[in-house]
Amino acid sequence: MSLKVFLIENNQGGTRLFAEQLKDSFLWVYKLDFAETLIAAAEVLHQKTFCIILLDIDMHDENLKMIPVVILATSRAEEDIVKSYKHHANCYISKPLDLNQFMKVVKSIEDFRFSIVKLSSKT
Amino acid sequence: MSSVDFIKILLVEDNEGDIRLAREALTGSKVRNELQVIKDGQEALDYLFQNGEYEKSSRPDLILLDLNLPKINGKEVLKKIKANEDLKRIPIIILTTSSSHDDIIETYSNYANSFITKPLDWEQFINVIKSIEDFWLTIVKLPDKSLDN
Repeated sequence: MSLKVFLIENNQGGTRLFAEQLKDSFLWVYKLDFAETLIAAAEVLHQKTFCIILLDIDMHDENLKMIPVVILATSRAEEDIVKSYKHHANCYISKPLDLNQFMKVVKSIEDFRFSIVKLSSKT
Repeated sequence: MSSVDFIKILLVEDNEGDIRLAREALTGSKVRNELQVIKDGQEALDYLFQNGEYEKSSRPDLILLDLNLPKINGKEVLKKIKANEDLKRIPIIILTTSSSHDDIIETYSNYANSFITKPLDWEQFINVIKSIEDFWLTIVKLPDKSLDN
């Protein structure tokens, strides 16, 4: 069973690059969906459920409460980290600076969430 | 994270065997850490809210919380922590014998950061603690403890 991942990311600067590379490399391992705005994301969430949502920091939303939210952000600023936890993100990961690190992080999330952690999805 | 070079972990757990295993698993960690163990829910809240003898206690960076605790159960402890403006930022990992769907839903609804069912096998238990260490201590950014933010 592959991990259903939803990546919600603004298409600003070079950040979209990760989304494209992730899609190309990992489509066969993860079931990956993308959205660039919360409105688009809400439509997708209406139709599908996911194991993990990777969410760009400024897009956090109360309606995502029941699905683990991993904030994946370029910011390393303390106030952004604290803000995310205060808004009940499950955890915060700084976006790695290169693709190899990024893959390592995604694999860690998969290992941790998939094999150890119980998710509250309805199956 | 602040410039302190070790991570404080609070383990709220009353089972002596599990406490011993957790200590063992965390002792060999590549990340320097200090484990504080508290064995009942009331005392855990006293510690976190700095009541009485815990007036000068320092805040943990990460909390591992069992659900079946004497005096005040884990779910109540979770709610109280996540309702507090200063404490709610601290990641809480529920570590429990339960695998009940209702417990999973209820704890995530109350903002638990993760839910893990304790394996019965001791080697697996140690592996779980090491996984927690790998993920939460090396990959994840933990929030700063100072109250400036």
